[in-house]
Amino acid sequence: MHSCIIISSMREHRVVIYFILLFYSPFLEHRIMTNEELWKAVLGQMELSISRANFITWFKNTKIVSNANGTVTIGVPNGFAKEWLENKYNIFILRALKSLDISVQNICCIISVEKESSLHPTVDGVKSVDGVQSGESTGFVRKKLIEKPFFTHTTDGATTFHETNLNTRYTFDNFIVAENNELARAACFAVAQNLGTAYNPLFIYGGVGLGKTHLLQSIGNELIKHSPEKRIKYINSERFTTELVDSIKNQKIDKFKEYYQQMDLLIIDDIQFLSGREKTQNEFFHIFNALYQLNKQIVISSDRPPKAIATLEDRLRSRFEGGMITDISRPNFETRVAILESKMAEKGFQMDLPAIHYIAQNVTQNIRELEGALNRVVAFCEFHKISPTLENTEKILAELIENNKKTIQIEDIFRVITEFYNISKEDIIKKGRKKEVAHPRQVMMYILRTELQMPFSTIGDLFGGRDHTTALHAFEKIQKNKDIHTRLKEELNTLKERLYYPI
Amino acid sequence: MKLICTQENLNRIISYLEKVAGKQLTLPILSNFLLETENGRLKISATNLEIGIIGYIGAKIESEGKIALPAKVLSNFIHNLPSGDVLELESTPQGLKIVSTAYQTTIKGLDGKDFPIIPEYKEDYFFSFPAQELKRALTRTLFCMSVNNARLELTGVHIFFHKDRIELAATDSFRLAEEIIPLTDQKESYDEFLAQNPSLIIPGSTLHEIMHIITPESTDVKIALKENQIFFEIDGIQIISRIINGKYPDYKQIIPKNFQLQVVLEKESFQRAVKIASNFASYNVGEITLSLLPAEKQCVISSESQEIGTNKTILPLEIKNGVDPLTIVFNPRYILEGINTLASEKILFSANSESTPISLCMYNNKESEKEQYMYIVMPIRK
Repeated sequence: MHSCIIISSMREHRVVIYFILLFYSPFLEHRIMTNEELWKAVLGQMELSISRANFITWFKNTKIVSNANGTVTIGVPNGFAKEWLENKYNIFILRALKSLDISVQNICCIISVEKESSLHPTVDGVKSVDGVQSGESTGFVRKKLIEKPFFTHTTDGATTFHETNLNTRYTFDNFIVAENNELARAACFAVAQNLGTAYNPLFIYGGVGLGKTHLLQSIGNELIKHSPEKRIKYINSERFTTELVDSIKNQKIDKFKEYYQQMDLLIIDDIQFLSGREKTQNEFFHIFNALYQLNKQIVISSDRPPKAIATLEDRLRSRFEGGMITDISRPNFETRVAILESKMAEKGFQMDLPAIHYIAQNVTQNIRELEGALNRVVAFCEFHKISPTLENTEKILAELIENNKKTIQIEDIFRVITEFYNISKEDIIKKGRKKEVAHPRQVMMYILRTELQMPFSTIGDLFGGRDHTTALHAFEKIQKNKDIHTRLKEELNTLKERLYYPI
Repeated sequence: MKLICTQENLNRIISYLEKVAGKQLTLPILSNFLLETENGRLKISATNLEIGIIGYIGAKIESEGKIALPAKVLSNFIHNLPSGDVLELESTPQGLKIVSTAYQTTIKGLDGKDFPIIPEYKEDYFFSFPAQELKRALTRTLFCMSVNNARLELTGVHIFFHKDRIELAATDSFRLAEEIIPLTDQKESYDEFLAQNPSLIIPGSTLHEIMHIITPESTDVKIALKENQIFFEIDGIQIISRIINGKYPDYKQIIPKNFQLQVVLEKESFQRAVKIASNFASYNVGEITLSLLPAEKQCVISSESQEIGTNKTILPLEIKNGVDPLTIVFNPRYILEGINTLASEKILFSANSESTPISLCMYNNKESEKEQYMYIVMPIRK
């Protein structure tokens, strides 16, 4: 199982090592390349020597089926690829193989079907993003008026209708690992490999658009890949509540519970929306307990740690805290660049390095926005047939970035701070060094400095004519402490989020 | 490459190929036709890497060669030439020069070496289907196919092979059409094939091409299967396609064995009534109500929507069997598409209850003619 972690970049090294530490895997003993590793290496070489379009067309879904007696058998998805690899690329492939494994004498291709079926899993998962889907196919609670399909399941008639809600687009392979998320990713991967035993429940939190859903769905998709018989359910808490309400209305609450209690892996996204919904929390608590008793895996995500979710019942909170809690923080500059590069490779788009850096520098808040900015540049350049140079990129994104900046003003910061710490504006400005006032004041000075780049003297003036050294001191104190106290870091993140994404 | 051929021949082959050579962004060469000389003939092929089609035409070859030409440009040019023209094709450094009586063209092409190699089947074909019957069966079943890729196995037509017949079925899980084609005097290889492959799922897009290629003169469609790919040959044109791997739902089990209520309706008036009613069914719900009243010998078709209004049609009906009245709700599209496939003047409408499949079939007074076609629809449950 562990040998399927392929070292493809330096970044993933860390994760791999992490795994070895975690599971004492026999990974280190593998010295001979497996077929999979060998083929990855060949693909790496081929990718350099042919165009990207050709590479994708002809090498998609290929693999080494066997490697014996000097003959390497390559599994290809269709007859076209077979003909092409055998007749056009055979010499290149052979050369690449020989450079890695001298014993290879010749190659042949066969059409392998098994890959195709795993691409389109026969588990009847209707793909949907974030669980958004039409009324016709919602879970087991049917809307009142639908056409009943003849067949709900293809494999055998006995099993009940079940969908995973997973979107196959999200996999571990296309998740970019960096220091902001490596622990979360490693934990998710461990969960996918050791269902129910590694970390249960697994709780992931982080801001909007940082990849929580991606990681969560990756667990499900990874699991489908190696054990398709497992029952997996991905649902966001909003849908969960709706289904619960529906089932109460239709007097099918027993079925609802029964349905969820038979899952091997239950993934609940955005659990914070459960706050304040007592009945739902109650039902969820029972489902949670039932699954937990049976060692079934539960994965939960939220935009803040369990402690910070208001009106979450204590017994639920303590249960969440009993498992593994990990966070995803904002990506740093290098990660953002890496993400942009990988997205561009996906789209087959080329861009100058300065332009990439420009985007990464200016779109900092979340990955979704980062992708949005990139899409905008790509679309604009393709439409107007211009090349994505730094100047063009600046022009295209000018509006977007301007908007981003304009949205925060001093008043916004005041509002957020006073709301968050529950003190009045006057208290902040007034003299007085009580801890309840001094801390928010320092935090506010810090935010004014970092987010609006205000001069220290102006900050001082803003707080009733304080000296600029006061502001400087506050800034330095927070700067220093935020790396030491996670609580403070958390606070700053929440504040920033509220600033940029007012509720 | 230099050759002479007639416009008619070239035009015919191009019309078969043009749908396959689509707009492919990933690999631009796929929007081209490959023209090459082979054994004294001109071979033209096109592929989108799912389906490949190869056609041959007789030509006077003066020198060998091959070239890939943009499909759209070539087909637009050739279609518009007067039929009966004789064309001279010659490759020049600028592209392929085509000269007819009055028209002179040079089309820029790509190197034929970059064109994908289409796998060809050179051995004996296992067996063949009667072409006209196959075409008719496809026109009456293909429309039921699912267009949703989530259930890949439903995006094709399922074929059950039997010694004396084949059974074609297509469904999107809301309605189903099945047609049986009798087979006569097949070769021995068919038996071998039968032993290994009791059934197959062929992608719908491939069958659309096949329907297109079968002309009224075609007599048989030769078929072979190799390495998970299916090969067809119709009038010398080869089509190769993947087959769908998957388990087709066991549709036989949902076909009702007998019906509680069977009524006969005039096809034309029924069709009209459903069409009218469908206009009053609101867009998102899209449902019409059919009430069968055996006691009054009436069929009431009605629909209503809050935004548009209401509609009701009363038609006479003939009872074959059953006494209890029944009200069923349908998606009008499924009913209309079903009626369209039936060629008779009268339709036999059979049902059991408001939540079980109903069937539509042709009704002839002659009981002797056994119907080979069946269409069933699932009602909407209230």
